[in-house]
Amino acid sequence: MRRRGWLRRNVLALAAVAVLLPATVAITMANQWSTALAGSPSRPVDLAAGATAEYGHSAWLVEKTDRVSASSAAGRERDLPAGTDLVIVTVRVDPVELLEDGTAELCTARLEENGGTGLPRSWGSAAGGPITLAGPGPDLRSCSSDQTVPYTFDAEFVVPADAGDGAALSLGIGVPTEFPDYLRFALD
Amino acid sequence: MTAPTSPWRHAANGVLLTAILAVAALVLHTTPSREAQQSAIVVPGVLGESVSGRNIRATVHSVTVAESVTAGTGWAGGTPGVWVVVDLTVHALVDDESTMLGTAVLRVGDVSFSASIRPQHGTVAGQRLVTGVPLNGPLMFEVPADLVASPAAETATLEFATDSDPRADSLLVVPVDLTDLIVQPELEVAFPAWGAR
Repeated sequence: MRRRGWLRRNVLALAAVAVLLPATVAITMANQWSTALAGSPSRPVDLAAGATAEYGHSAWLVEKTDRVSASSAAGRERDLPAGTDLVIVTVRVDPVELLEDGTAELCTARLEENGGTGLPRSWGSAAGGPITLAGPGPDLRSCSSDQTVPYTFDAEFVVPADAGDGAALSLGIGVPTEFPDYLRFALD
Repeated sequence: MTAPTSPWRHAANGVLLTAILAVAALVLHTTPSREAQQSAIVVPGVLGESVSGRNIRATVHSVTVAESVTAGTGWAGGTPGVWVVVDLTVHALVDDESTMLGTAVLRVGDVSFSASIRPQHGTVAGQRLVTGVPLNGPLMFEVPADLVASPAAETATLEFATDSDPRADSLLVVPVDLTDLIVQPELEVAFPAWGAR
């Protein structure tokens, strides 16, 4: 009687190793990635311009978007750097539910550029940023924990003049308790 | 009773084992060290031209050596050595969240000098960057006077990155010949400014 070869005798075990080894590596890497991404706004919920969304303890709506060039009178008034624009996004916040301490939740706002020929770019709010703008600016530039009734804030972003050329601009709103999900409103 | 294994089978097993050992040795000796795996990704640049990394673009416009320097803030730097002053434009490329000019180093031979933060807001060293919006301004490196005339100064390099620890990220490296430069007695530099030059 002819003896079966080593490969034939161990085919099941080898097949199990071939499946389980890559699966173990993939699951380990996926787990590490998901843990790393869970603490930051990394999973956008895309919304059309003018859409209202409930997120966290509030309802959110982008009311309007303005853009001011550095060479315009308004731009000179704010002392915008040469070759930049100021993008101002007015956001309406309706605190549907307050936090346990009776305050409204805070948020972060970022401007994103996607879909162009280059890499996606993003900008943090000018409030607290390194570029100092002149003039009084808006009353509220971000979410406020003191506002327990519906209110608006104007998020300002200093961007290069080519921002949005051939690409779509959107506003990202993030609330830490909802990460990694965040709202991404398309801008007009 | 089973048939005896043929000599050819023994020979084939030996060849297979030798091949496996050879591949293992190759992998062992060509695997990058931990230091190499984490090292910065060097992006070579040229004086006067912009050079780009993952999230940083910089242009070294000029390099000057001076015995004393006065920053745009009015800060006047005295030194027993000399100042190597770099006129730089820098900005973030894709993301400005927690992005700053964390590494600004002058390397001469085996010795490296970090850009001085003594001028505070009069230098771009350590300043936060904005995506696509250039920051223009000086970097001041305080070095021994005899170093700029040393042979190693012919092949000095300027290094820039967005983090103080540029491992596993882009490191822009711009060569500069310090021995070519005439030492100025004093130099006044402008306050850092945002926007297109």
